[in-house]
Amino acid sequence: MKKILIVIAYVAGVVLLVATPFFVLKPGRFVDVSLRVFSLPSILDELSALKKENSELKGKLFSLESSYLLPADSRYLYGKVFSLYPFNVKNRIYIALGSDNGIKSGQPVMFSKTVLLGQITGVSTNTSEVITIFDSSYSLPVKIGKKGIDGLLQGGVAPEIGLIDKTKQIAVGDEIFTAAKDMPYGLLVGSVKSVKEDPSAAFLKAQISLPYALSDIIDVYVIRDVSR
Amino acid sequence: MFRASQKNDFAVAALLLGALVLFSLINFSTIQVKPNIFIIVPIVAALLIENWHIFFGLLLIELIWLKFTPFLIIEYGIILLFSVCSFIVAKLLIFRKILLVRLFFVFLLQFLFWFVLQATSQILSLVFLLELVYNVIIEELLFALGSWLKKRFS
Repeated sequence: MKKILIVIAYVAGVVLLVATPFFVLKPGRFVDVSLRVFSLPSILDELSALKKENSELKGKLFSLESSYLLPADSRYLYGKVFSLYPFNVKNRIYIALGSDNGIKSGQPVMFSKTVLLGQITGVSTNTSEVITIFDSSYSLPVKIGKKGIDGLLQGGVAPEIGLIDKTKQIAVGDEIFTAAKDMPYGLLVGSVKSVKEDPSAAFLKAQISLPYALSDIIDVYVIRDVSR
Repeated sequence: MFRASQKNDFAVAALLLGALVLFSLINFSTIQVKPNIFIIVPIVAALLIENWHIFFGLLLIELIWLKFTPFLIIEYGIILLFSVCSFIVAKLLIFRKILLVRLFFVFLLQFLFWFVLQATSQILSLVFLLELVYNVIIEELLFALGSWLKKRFS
């Protein structure tokens, strides 16, 4: 143990010796570096807000191009995420909206007003559990691209679309949108990242590109009155 | 004020508590797979802490820190049960300094955790394997640091 500590001390000393001239040559450098380090969280917050806005606009554009009606603004309930499920067994989140707010099991939960994140699975008075598309037990019928090719979203740490007809053509960048009977048609899920073609398999598989990571999510929208 | 053995145990408990807070706050994950620090900490604590008051004190803080829902769920019970079992089994183990015994211990608890939470279909997956690798690395690091601390304070 003593030897390890000595090696660590030596490495730290060498790093300091190499790095010092750069700091000495530019006196303002320390201030610059510390400012960057301390302003990093705000930059990251701004980045995630921009990502969210971008995904919302993409969803609106997609809805306009494909003429699918998005739910009216009054049907969205805004809620804060108060915890993430901390183990790998499930990928769920808990939100600060419950039956008192009109939340019911099965309602779609959105990352932004146009991008789907998951569905409500459990409701208590003031809180709800949300199964996300990162959960391996989640699946959802979807359609891909402008031609509306059928597929099945299979949840997981890297969600993918399965059961895609081999005779149909899908391309990288094609939008993936919901086609389940228990939620509004045409909600954006993400886009095709890559297509896996296995000659021995009966169907194609596609990886999904998502505009968010689960750990970035701090607030969500829930769509009320799912039936139109 | 404290006996030497209690000092050792307090030092190890402080280290484990620090690791618990650090890992759960930094939200460390790769392709969204994170180590299960809530089963690693009781394992290392069971192997290194002799005083059961300190062990259960640490366990209580861990459970309070773990709480992520406003209601009780089965996960809290599983962590509590596994931790108590770890403490009892570790006290019976005479080979606790053998690496393979510790690895098996980590594997067994992780396997049981997934099994009880009905994730058996996912056990043969990359996620399980990655979590096991993370768990083993962190457990070994904490065990080495804890053992060093125990020697230092004895």
